[in-house]
Amino acid sequence: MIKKVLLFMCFVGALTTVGMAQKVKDRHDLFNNWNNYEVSTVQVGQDGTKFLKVWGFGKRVDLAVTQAKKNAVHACIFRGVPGNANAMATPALCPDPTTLDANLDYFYDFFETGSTYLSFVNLTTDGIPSGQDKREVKGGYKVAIYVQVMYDNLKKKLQSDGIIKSLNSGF
Amino acid sequence: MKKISLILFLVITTLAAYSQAKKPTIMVLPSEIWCIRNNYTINFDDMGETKQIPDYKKALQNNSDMRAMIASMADFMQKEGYPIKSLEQELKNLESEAAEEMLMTSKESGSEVAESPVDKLKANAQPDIILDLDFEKVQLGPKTQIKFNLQAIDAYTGKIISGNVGQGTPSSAGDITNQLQEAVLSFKDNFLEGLMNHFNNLFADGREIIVNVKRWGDCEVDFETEFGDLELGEIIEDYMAKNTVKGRFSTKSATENKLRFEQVRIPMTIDEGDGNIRAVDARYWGRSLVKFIKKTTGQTCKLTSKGLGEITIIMGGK
Repeated sequence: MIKKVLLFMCFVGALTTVGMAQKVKDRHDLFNNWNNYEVSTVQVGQDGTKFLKVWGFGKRVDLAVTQAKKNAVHACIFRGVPGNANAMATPALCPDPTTLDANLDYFYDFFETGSTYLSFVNLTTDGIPSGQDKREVKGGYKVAIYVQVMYDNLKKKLQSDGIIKSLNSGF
Repeated sequence: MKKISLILFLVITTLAAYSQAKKPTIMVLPSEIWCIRNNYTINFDDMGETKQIPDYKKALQNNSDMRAMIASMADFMQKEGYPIKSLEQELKNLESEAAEEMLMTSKESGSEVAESPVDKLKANAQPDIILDLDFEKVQLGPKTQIKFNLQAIDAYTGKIISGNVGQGTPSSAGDITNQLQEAVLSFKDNFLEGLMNHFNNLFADGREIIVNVKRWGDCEVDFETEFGDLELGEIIEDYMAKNTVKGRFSTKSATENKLRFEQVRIPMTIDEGDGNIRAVDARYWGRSLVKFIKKTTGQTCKLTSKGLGEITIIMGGK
């Protein structure tokens, strides 16, 4: 009887471990898939904001638009956005590559569809992109949207959550 | 229980150390080239040589564009929780303290050392970081465009912390204030990132200063005089290695009469041993070296500082 109980406990433990490992793997996969998108600065945004053109990929157009919004916020946090002739580049809020690994759970929740990231995307061309901004590609659609990212608010959120330091921290 | 107390003590002392680091002060100055281009200059007699130097007072009284740029920068720095020093206010302070300053200068130096108004301003305001701002309105047919160049300079070393060069969107609307505002917004985040990197560097590696150690001509000890097995110059080098952050400094020159150390990294704070964490600047750090030399050689020393980041110790008397 004891043997059976022990065996059952081992089985449950193994399942849990496999489940957790799978979850961690999913999270890593989510962010690893994030290495390939295009983003550019359209013009200097209003105070505290960034006006960007960003591309997203999805099986359907609406999914691609959702992904593009995530990409815009992701770019501001991790990649930075290149400038253009009349606007300087936007630096990444978390230039340290270890920040993501150190806060994997936080960012996983942050970027869950319809979650926190959305409150920093203020203005978008939320209709269906058309013409040059909508391309049918193998496996789905690639679309471009114009977004206004609330960059300063995003920075303050990451600062208050302890992900990045503020300018006067340490003094 | 003892372990918990020890951990709590370490956490509290660490926090105290961080909270008491000297906050670098920042001030925006119109760049020299901008002042010359706009004729906001005065002629200054520097030891017989006439030099053209910026007249900041005239610039601020007559140029609303520069005032708008400085105000915009002060605004975003305030939002970052990091207010900057007002150039206008410092100029007023300088005027009101002018007589006192002159008296103190002559008393200290006893010689006729020329000091330009810009040097006086820097000595009075003592900004740790100077934001050197230049911008220009360029006419492109019917449109105007703003070209800007903002450099954040570490006043201690003269090194550029952050350089931001760019141009705004050409506009025919004629509203120059909006264009200036756009220019500030354009470089804002890059500039803040440069500043943040600089602060991270300060906390990791300490402030960077220059240290000169010299001797008076009649001093009986020179830097090749031996104390025990080592020459004085070597003993001072060992002191530098022990009292700089991560032992970082470079000996630029070492002769029997003079030692010069550059890229000397001093800590942001020093534990004075009685629970007090004191913010450190170049002069304060130099005081310990003066005591060390006196203890080693028996010679008294004179300690002078030039600007914020260079000290000179002269051995053999005050």
